[in-house]
Amino acid sequence: MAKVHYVTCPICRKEYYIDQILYEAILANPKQKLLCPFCRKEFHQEMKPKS
Amino acid sequence: MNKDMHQFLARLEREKPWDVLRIKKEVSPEFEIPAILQQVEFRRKDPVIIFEKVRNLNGDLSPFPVVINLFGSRGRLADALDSTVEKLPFDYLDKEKEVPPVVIEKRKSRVKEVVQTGKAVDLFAIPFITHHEMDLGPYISAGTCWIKDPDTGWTNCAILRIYVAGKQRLVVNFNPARHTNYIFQKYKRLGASIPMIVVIGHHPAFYMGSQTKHLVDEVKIIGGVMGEPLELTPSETWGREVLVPAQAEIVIETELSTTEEDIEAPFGEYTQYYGGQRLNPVADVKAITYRKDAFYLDIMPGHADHLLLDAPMIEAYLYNRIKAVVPGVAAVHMPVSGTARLHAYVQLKKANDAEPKTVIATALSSDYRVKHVIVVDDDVDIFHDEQVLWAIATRSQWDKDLVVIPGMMGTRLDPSGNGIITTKGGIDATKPFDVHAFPQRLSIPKPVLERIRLEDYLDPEALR
Repeated sequence: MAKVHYVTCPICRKEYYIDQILYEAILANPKQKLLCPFCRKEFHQEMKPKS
Repeated sequence: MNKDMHQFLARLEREKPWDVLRIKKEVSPEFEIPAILQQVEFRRKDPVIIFEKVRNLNGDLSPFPVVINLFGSRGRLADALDSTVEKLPFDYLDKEKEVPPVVIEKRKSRVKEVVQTGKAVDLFAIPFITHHEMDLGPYISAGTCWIKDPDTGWTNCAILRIYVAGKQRLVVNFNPARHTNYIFQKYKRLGASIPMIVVIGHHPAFYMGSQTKHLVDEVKIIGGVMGEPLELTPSETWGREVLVPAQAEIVIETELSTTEEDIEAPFGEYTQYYGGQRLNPVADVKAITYRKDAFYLDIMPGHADHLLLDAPMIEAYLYNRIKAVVPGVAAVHMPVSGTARLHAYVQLKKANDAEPKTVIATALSSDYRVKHVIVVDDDVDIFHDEQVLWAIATRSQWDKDLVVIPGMMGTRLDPSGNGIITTKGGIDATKPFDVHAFPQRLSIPKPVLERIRLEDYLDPEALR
């Protein structure tokens, strides 16, 4: 099955998802910018590798 | 002068006025246009809709009326090629040949009537639409992106989804499985940025030509499908080195980076799911040119407007590929129920019991998106899902009639797959070749069917 990774925007608290490649980019660089599609604000979010 | 979108719409309004709706009330490009189209579709209608008053991304009334659902009916696609719904894929095949373009002067090119370069470039003046709730923002959904192969000089034309990130900034989605990406990788190895033009709005035949699956100079195929050499004119940024369609509605000239990436998506896709947020290449806009009376053309993602545009071309391509191996193929249909990409119905007059699985193998390997192939006899109408399902119900046994092939290349937009790796399959839903061993299908005597006219028995009101 396709892997998507849900993130919660810390500003508007709404949830959306990122794809596997962006998820791996965040694991490599926790400061990687994300952009909330609901409030259109930038944020970054630390993610832990899933087993 | 080339035929164009204005002429097509004018002819449609003249000959089929029920096929064009004009909305004069002011609308927002954020969700309102998609909501109106969806409401129209709920009433089982599929007209082109022209929104005459739309706010742009600056909040002003845009000079561009918006056209949506231009490709939302097979009848309109057939009209674009002076064909019929039944003959459309075959007529497309006849027209899918190389016709070299002609270069004309800028003063004869309607797309040069208004020119913005440098600081004057403002994407926000155009009413780009935000379609679905979780979309990242406004997107260009009907832009054909032209990129030249650095080795062959051929131009690849692909409709790519493009996020409008700023007044002079776009982020372009690249799919690893597409031709465009192979060309992108060539420039990346060269360490070079890519001159890329985005063409928005032209005659529907232009769009259909750009959907060719062949690895050729696609500008020539566009001319073939349009039935006339495509008129090109020099771009503002690169002159004669990069040519643009002279009678397009809008052309955006960009420099596509092979090193800089930015956030793009979520975006609602043809599979009717959102693609997850990802990183994609950035394009800096160098110039925008357009006709004084330009329409802004949008394609509604995940709806018939999006699904049908490519369907006849995939059908034509699959038909040709299968015909070379199994001559008895009668027709191919990509149903909207299967996103017009993932399912293929093939009608076959078979010569032996090995042909259906050969058809399945050929079709599955011909287009990366085709995931399930159902082969039926020529007495099954492949334009009606219920007939195909009936054939599966009564003419297949899955211990011998199923083909399953794991690990093939598919679309990453299919959420059931694993990236671009997917399991594909097919069903042989044909009768055994020895038909005397198989029951007969129900029928009413043909002379009686042809003699009976409903109008002789029923009030016309009852037939509405």
